[in-house]
Amino acid sequence: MNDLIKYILTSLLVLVAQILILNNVNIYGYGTPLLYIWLVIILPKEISPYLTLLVSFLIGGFIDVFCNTPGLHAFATTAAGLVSIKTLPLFITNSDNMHNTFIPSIKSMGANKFFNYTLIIVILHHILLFFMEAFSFEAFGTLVLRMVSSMIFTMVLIYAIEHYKFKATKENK
Amino acid sequence: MNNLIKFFVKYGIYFFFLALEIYATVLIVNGNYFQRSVFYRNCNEITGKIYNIEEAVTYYLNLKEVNQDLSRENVELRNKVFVLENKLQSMKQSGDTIAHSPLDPKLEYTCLQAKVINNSTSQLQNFITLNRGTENGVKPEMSVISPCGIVGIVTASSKHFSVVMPVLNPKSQISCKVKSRANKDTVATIKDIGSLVWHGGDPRFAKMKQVPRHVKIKKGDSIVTSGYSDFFPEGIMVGTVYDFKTGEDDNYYDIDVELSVNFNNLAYVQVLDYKHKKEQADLEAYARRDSTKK
Repeated sequence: MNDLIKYILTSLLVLVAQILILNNVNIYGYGTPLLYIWLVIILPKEISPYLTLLVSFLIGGFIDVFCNTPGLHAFATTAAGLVSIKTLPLFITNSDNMHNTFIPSIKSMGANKFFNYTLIIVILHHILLFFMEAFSFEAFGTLVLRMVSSMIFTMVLIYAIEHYKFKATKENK
Repeated sequence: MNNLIKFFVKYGIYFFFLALEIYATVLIVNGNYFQRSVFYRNCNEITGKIYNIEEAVTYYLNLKEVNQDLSRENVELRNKVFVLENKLQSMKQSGDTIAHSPLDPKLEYTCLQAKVINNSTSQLQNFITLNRGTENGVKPEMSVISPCGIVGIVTASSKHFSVVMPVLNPKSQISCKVKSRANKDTVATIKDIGSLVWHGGDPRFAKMKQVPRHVKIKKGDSIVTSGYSDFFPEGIMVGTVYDFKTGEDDNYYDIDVELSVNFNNLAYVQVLDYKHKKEQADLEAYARRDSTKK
């Protein structure tokens, strides 16, 4: 229960940050960090896959409502949700499974595995999102440049937050 | 049934995923102007291609009716052309200072539609059978043309059928003239007269003999009917000059004429009825008889 409230509060914070701040960040006209995908990444392993998909869809839909792009983010985020369901078990060894709820993070998975897991989801999400947005293969070079710079930006942000969380829990101990 | 339910339970997550993605796609297509336009443009292209294929198939199915309609229309138009030509002729003459009596604007030629039901091109004496006979007004000695040019002359007709002797028959002789091609500056000029004959062989070519040497002929000049025989009206396309050389006695050209009508796929023809034919023939016969008496 505690986890659920925490997750909802985090979600609200991240979504508001995404809508009000990060969507307006546009490095050299190319990169926009899409931090909200982090909410899909940190969904606990134990919840039903249907719920994971639905939550992913709702997160994307929430962003869509404020970006005025119906269905676009929902499409990419739902696909990211499915990939997270299918790839998360591959990164978990039995020794990690000592908590009753498994939330992917640097602490629970280790920096290396968490990085790979995040990278897969972010790449897929960005590819789908940017291609659905462009909806054509014209100006392919610009499209890829925007995609890659956004990916790097998003990865840096997610990793910074996770690292901060990791440090904070360490110091609390 | 059990297996089906198991299948759905096992892969339910994928179905759920697909449902959400399809819903998202619907939202994208309906909600975003750019994506919608791309989507419908591509859909239009696909439906357009399908309709093209459908059209290409049904086109052949409708071809028969289309041909019949066109042939009927051709007949009507040709009748109109005759009427107008006559009117034009009479007006021209009445405008002259020398008082001609204006030609009767009455229709001189009428046109009947007919379909070729039997045709040969490979024999020496070729004949064509039409599906119209005396009941429809087709009588011997009427001329037969197709939209491309002349075909031949009716030689016999029964109640429902008639037989045409086409150009591709050594017995047929058609009075023709060479018409030089009109270009920008020069008006088409009628040059000279000869008769068109065919002596077997290639059904695409006929010969025009006895064209005087003083006539300047170019390859590609048109050959049209002269109007001096009582079969064909003047100026109906026969063919084009394919080649020419001097004949045996060096005073005349022999012209190879490439016929404008393709006799191999002749389908619809028009039978021309010259109204004053009998009157003209009677008068001529009378004149000949009269001169021999003296």
